Amino acid sequence: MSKTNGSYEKSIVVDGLTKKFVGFTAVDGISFDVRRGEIFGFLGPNGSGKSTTIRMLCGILEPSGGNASVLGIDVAAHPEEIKQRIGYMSQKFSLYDDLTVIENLDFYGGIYGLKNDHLAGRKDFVLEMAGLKGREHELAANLSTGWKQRLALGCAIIHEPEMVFLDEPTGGVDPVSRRNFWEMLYHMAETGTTLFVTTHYMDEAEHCHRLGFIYQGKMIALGTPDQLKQQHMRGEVIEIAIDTSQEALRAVVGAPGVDEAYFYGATIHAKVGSVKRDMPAVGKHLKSLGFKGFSVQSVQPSLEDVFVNLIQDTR
Amino acid sequence: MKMIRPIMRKEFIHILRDPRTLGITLFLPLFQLLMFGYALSLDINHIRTGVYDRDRTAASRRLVENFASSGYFDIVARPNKTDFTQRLDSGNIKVAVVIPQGFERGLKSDGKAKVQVIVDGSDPSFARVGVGYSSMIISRFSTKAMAESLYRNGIVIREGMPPIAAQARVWYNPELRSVNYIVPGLMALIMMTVTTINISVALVREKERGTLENLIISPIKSWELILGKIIPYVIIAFFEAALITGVGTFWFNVPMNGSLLLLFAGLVIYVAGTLGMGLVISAITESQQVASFGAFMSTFLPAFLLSGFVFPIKSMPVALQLVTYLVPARYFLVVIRGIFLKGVGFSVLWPDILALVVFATLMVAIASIRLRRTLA
Ligand SMILES: Nc1ncnc2c1ncn2[C@@H]1O[C@H](COP(=O)(O)OP(=O)(O)OP(=O)(O)O)[C@@H](O)[C@H]1O
Ligand SMILES: [Mg+2]
Repeated sequence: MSKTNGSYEKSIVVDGLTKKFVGFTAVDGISFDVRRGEIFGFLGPNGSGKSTTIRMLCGILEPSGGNASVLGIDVAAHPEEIKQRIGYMSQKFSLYDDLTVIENLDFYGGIYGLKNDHLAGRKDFVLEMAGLKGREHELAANLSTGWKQRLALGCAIIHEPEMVFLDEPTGGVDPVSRRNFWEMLYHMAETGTTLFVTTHYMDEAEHCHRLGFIYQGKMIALGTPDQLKQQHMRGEVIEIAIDTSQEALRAVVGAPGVDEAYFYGATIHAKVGSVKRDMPAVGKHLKSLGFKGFSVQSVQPSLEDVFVNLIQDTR
Repeated sequence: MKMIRPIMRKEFIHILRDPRTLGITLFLPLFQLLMFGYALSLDINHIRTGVYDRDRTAASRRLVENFASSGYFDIVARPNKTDFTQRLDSGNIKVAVVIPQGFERGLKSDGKAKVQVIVDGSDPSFARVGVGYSSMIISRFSTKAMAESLYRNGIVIREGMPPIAAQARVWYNPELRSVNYIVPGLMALIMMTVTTINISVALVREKERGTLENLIISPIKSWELILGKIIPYVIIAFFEAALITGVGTFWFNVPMNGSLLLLFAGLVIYVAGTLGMGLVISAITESQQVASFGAFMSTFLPAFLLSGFVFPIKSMPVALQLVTYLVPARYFLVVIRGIFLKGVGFSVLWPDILALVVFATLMVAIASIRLRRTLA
């Protein structure tokens, strides 16, 4: 694979990537690839190895085994060559609170070697994109979390990277700000930037072109949202609108034909072999236990259903 | 190299907008300078003194008069025998001068007059000064008395023919002004604490905020990052050194007898070491609080207590004296006092300068090893 700019086919190619810390393996031989211009969602519960994988892909953590190339460059062999061409937005937003919006942009532009007209043009673009025009001289500390997040994204892309890594970019941000943020991500993807995003939010995952699901350091599922729903969902899902108490959950689990049940928002989801066969039985069972005023309906399995399933299968 | 500028610019903004850094960097040194220069002056005078004159003659009164007019002693009491021990015990007086009966007679006949001076030794440095001043007054008095007795015996001392007398001269700091001693000492203390605390906090702050990760991911080289972070503090440190030298020489009239160039060279080596130390601390700590506390404990206390700044090293217990060899401020103090007060040069100061070079090399080496691990 050539290293010259623009001649790579896939933005990321990972093969058997492994990271061992003393006494345990944080990332355990994962393999996947990310196509150019795609939004790749990297999902997994806390501590599953998402940040560790990103660190290796950004060239700041040396892999213990396997291969990874980003933009056609081997991360272990030439980490320095990747740095100028990728952007990174960390879990903590990494802004300087005591610097103003414009000073933050100036700084990040400066350390990527941007100068004069080029820097000015990029700052203008980023301010426009993030909707921060007119707030240039506010201290970052005084921005609300949603705006901080936009500024952090702006800082991460000030040098026009071909590929951006975003590690839980929407943690702690309200739903409206999250939606706005994703609008920006779509826009970037449309203009050819490849995005690698980790998230806990399943609604965000639905918006990704492709997904990888990592659990305890292992990649346990990989594909488009639709593929994942088809391939990894054996059985069907019914939704029971009932008071979400442990008692109700126990009752649903005990109903005939129910493989698994779990809280899903303000409802309980149950996986059954067949909706047609099992749904009436579940309703009857709950009534017989004295539950009243609930409703049962069949629903399309969501990604969350898929992942609950996947984790239960792995256990 | 071009990446150093944005780092430096950012660092200056941090300094200007952070009241704590600004305080530590600008106001603490000035405050220390004024505090030590005035309030904590080690000069001792107006010592509360009691006189127990059992002779009550012209000669004894003249001696007491000599004590009183020296300016060092204030005669606040003329106690009787039992009373003066009590007053010494209670701290009411610090020095008691006891003139025994037959003082004048002894002086006139065989010249064997005795005076007893009792000094409160609970504060040793104070006692040393008290004893020194009183023996100076007494010896001056006896010289005069000797001249008079010679005169009475027919020998005239003409002008230009002084009586034989031991003349103690204090070199380098003739008036024994403690401020002359303190200002160079403060320079050693301030340069060390300010640089070490600031640089360690400056790096750990990036760790704490998570911004260090962004810097590591950026194309900036780790040496560019370190230089960009250090240079602002070095500039400030030299600004401070100039300030201390200026206030010291122009305001407190501390003599500056030696070479400014050598002083500057010494500072460069010293600051290289203290910055290295700050970097080591930032590499091994994770929070600003721990870093600044660690930096303070490992710089201020040793530089204050074990460098010879306030307490002379020679009067410390041997074990502690050995510890002082590990305190870089100790060497710098010798260098800087040598330059300021003695005006001596490299030929005299080289052993201490060498020790500073060793310290700096060691610190910078440890820092670069530790930081490579953190930043790579
Ligand atoms: N430097 C390290 N040394 C030892 N263990 C580490 C180190 N860094 C991470 N780990 C461990 O590796 C595991 C994976 O961590 P990682 O940060 O990659 O998880 P994550 O998927 O990003 O989780 P989160 O969603 O909480 O951010 C965790 O158990 C973590 O404690
Ligand atoms: Mg993480």
